Amino acid sequence: MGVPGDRYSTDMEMTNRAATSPSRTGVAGEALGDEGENIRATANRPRRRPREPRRRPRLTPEQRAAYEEAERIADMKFYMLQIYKIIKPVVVCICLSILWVKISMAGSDYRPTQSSYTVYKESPNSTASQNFLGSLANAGIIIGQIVIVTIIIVVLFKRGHIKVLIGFFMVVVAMLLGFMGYILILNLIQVLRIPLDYLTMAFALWNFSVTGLISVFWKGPMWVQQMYLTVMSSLMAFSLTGLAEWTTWMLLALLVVWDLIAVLCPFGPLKILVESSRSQNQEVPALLYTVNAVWFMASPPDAILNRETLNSKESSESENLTLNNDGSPRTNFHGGHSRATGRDGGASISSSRNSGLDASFSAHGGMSRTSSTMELVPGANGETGNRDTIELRERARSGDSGNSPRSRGEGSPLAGRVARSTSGRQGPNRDPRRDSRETDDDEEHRESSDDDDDDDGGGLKLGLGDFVFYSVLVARAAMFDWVTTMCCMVAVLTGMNATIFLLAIYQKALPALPISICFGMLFYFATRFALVPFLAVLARGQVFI
Amino acid sequence: MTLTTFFGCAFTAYGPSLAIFFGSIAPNAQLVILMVSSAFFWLISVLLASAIWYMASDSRNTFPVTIIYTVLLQELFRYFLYLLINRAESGLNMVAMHPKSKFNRSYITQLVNSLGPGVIMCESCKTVSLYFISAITTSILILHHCAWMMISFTGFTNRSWLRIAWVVITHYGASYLTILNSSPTINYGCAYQIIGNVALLIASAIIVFADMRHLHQKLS
Repeated sequence: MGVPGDRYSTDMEMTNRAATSPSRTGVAGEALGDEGENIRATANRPRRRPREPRRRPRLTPEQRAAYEEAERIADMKFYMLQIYKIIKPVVVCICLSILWVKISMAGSDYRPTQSSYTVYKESPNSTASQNFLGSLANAGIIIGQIVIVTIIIVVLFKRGHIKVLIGFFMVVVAMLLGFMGYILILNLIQVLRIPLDYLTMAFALWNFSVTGLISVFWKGPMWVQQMYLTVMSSLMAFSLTGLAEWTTWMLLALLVVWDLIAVLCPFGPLKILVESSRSQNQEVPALLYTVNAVWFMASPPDAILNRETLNSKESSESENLTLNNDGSPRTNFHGGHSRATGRDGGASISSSRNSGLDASFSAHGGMSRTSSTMELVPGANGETGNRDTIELRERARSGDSGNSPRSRGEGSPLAGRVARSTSGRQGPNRDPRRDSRETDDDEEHRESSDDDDDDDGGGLKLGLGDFVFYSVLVARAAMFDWVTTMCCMVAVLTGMNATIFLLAIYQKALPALPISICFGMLFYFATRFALVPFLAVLARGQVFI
Repeated sequence: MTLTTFFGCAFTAYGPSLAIFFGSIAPNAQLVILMVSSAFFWLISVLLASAIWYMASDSRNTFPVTIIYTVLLQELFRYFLYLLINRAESGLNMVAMHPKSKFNRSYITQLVNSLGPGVIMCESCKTVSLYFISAITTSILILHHCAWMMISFTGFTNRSWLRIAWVVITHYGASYLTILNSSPTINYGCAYQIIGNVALLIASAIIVFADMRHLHQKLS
């Protein structure tokens, strides 16, 4: 085990953080700042060890209080940025589903129909109670399916059958992209009167869905991945617009309840899923739209760091710091690359790339890394850190597609770690901060690790299911009127904002559906029954309020 | 022809606000959030107004009465929004007490921004006749709302009743002017309405610019 704990002084952290904040917001010049940080970290290194003993007592209460305040503010700003980042894909997804609905409503024969498992068919002349009960049954069936599938996924994930899960998701995604894409294209062709033969369409569709599969599950540019995730959600929402009206609302209402149960109850499956994905350091593939993915576009190092801070938190930071000093800035780049290319098992993918990428992977760097791995594994005592490392390495090895698997496999996760702790804005800030906290009371530490665990550290994650059902709601509204559409959109977005602010306050995984869906439904019915006639009258008189 | 009319009217109505949105709001996270929340509040006020309208079945077609409570509700909710934002900012304002942290400077400039380019209100008005007039009116009213937002927020913070009164009165004025659109007795009612609204808008804009300059001077 290396140095037991490197301490930055609080004021240094402050400056670091302060330096961080503008660069978080600014997009340009990220790389430069990154380099600078590296250099600084490297330069600091020899001095750090002697400094350590007298650092500890310098944390006066006032400093700490001040520091915490600054930190809270930084957190708030961080969440604001997160909201900003997540709003864009959500809006795009919603707009896409509105577009699909509007197109398919313009007289096409290929609208998604009620699926075969709906037991009750709504008809306009049945009574309200009939409708209510029937739609309850329909929605109950769908919800039951969702529940069962969720539980299966959680069990598989918990048991570590990631491969099975990935296979399952691949099938689902392929079906979704292929089949729903097919229906959508049929709609488009019919409504827009495009002459197109089946061969071309099949070819295009095949390419479309295979590209989607590859970019979601393997590698691809981030924006392609995000685009596919968004399109997938909108397609899913489009397929759900085939449900009858009552069923849709009932489904949304039940989903709210289910979401609350699944995320907030102590044994809620989604809660278990989130927790185990946190402790296993693995992401559920293709289910989450991670903001740091978005972030990656904005500022590469941030993305890495956010991902990496998750991993780093358990193992002792000192080692990382020593490690990173051995590693050159180039290792950073590896880490960055890995995160760029791969989604899950990112590090592994990088390794194959790295090999081609830098032939000058110097013996020095490689050696130091290998040795440090050796050091690290026994060093990560007790906690999950140990398992993490191993797992990371395993993933790295298994995913490694080529040359010298051993050294690469060991090198790449470390490269990741190195990147995490050197490169930057967040690494050096966060890690020492946590260290400094560890010296204080336990509670404090738990809190900090909590907030790092959560969306703070990993970037905000929004399940694709939330995307889907936001879009379903708005698409349903779009089938009625434009005014209701806009109202529902605003309501959903506000609900999302509120949820994220609650997230900032409570610092734990929260269900994203309830507030948004409740607002959305409330606004839908209010708009439909009061606002639309009101506006119609006003518009007739051309009166503006 | 109808398609071109549609696009022409749409861009006349929403062009300026879209320009404001993509120009100055979209790049700023805080402003986007602010915009969404203010749109939400505006929506609540309009929904309440429509609920009142729905219940008051007698006066459904008498616009002056309708305007009274809608405008009142809107201004009320603007104040609520102000309270909310103020409260949220008091949480964030702790930064300002920190001379050391670098947030200080950047945060204040952000505050200025958030007071600045204002907020888009969604006016959803597609009228049956005279599309173009309503498009123009919509765009004017959106700008009006931006100006009112800024003026009223300055008014609320400085406790200057004059500004608040100005906002309320001009809001009523603008709304009542639009009645001219459909009035059967006055010729060229819509022209008067547009001229009046533009005049009001210019006056509001002058106030906004004066306030902004004052703020800038105070800051620098």
